[in-house]
Amino acid sequence: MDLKSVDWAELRGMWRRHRAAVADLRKRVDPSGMTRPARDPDERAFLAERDGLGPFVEVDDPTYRIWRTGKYGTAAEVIAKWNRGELGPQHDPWKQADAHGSNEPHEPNREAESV
Amino acid sequence: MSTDELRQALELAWNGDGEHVERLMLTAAILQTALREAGMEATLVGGGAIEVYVPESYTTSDIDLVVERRTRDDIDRVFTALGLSRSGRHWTRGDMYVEVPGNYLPEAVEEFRLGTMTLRVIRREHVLADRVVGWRHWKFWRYGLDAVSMLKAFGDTIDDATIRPHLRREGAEDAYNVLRELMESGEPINEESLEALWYRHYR
Repeated sequence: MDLKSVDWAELRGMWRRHRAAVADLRKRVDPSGMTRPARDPDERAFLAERDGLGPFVEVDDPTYRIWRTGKYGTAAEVIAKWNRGELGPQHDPWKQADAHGSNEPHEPNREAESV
Repeated sequence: MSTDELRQALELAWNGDGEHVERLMLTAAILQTALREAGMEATLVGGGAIEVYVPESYTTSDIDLVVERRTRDDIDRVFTALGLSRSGRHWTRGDMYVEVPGNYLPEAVEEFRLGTMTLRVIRREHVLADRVVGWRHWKFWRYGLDAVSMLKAFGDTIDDATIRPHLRREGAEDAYNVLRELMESGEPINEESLEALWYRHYR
C-alpha cells in the first residue's frame, strides 16, 4: 500500500476554503471553561499524560451517551425516559461495554452517499 | 490487503510527517479497511469527523468509529492484529486512541477515496446537527462553539433538506437558527455568551 500516492488536492482545497472562512471567527473565540461531555476516565488519563485535555469542564451525563447510541429515541425522549426511570445505568454504553460483548450484530447501514 | 500490510501502513500513517488531519484520515481509513475485510462497516464520527471537515477548528488523536455488523470481540481481534492494545472500552497504539461509541449509524455518510482505500465519515450535516443537539439539550457550550465554527466553514454548502429534518426530529431546529445568528453577529463566543444565549431562549 503506497500512502504517498494519495491525491490530497481536492481535500486540501476544501480545507483552504474552510480555514479562510473561520479565520475571523477564531478572533472572537475563547473556549476556556466551556462544558463538554465527560470523557471516559481512561481517555482522560491518556490525554492528561499528553497535555491534551484542553480548557474544558467535563459534565458526566449518561443520557447523552445513551442518546448517541441511536437506539432509544430522540434527545428529548431519552431524557424523559431517564427521568421516568425507563432508562437507567444499564443502558449506558460505557456500562454495557464494561459488561463485555454488548456490541451485538446489527442491520447494515444504508448505502453511503458519496461526495 | 494482508494484515501485515495494513499493520505496516498503520505505523507509517500515524507516525508520518504529513499534516495531522491527513494522518488521522489515513489511520481511520486503514482501520476501516481492516474491519471491512472482516465483514464490518465502520464510520468515523465525533471530533475526528469535525477535523476531517474543518481541521482549523478541531484536532484530535481520539478516533471514534461506529462499527456495524459484528461484536466487540470481533473488533478486538482485528485491532489486536493491527498492533492495538485493548484497554477497557477502547484501544490504543502509542498516541492513537480508538473508541467504538456505538454499533448503529442511521445517518448518511460521505466517502473519501484515499488511494486504494475508502474512508467513511458521517455526513457533515449530521455531525453539525449532533453538536447543535448537544448544545440545546445538554448545555455543552463547547458543542455550541463547534457548531458555530462548522456553520461558518460550511457556509452555503449545508444541505437544508438534510439537516433541518434531523434537527426538527431532535427538537433543535430553533437552536440551529440561534447559533447561526450568533455566528453572524460578530459578538464574542465564549462560555458566558453561549450560556447566556441558551438561558435567553430555553430557560
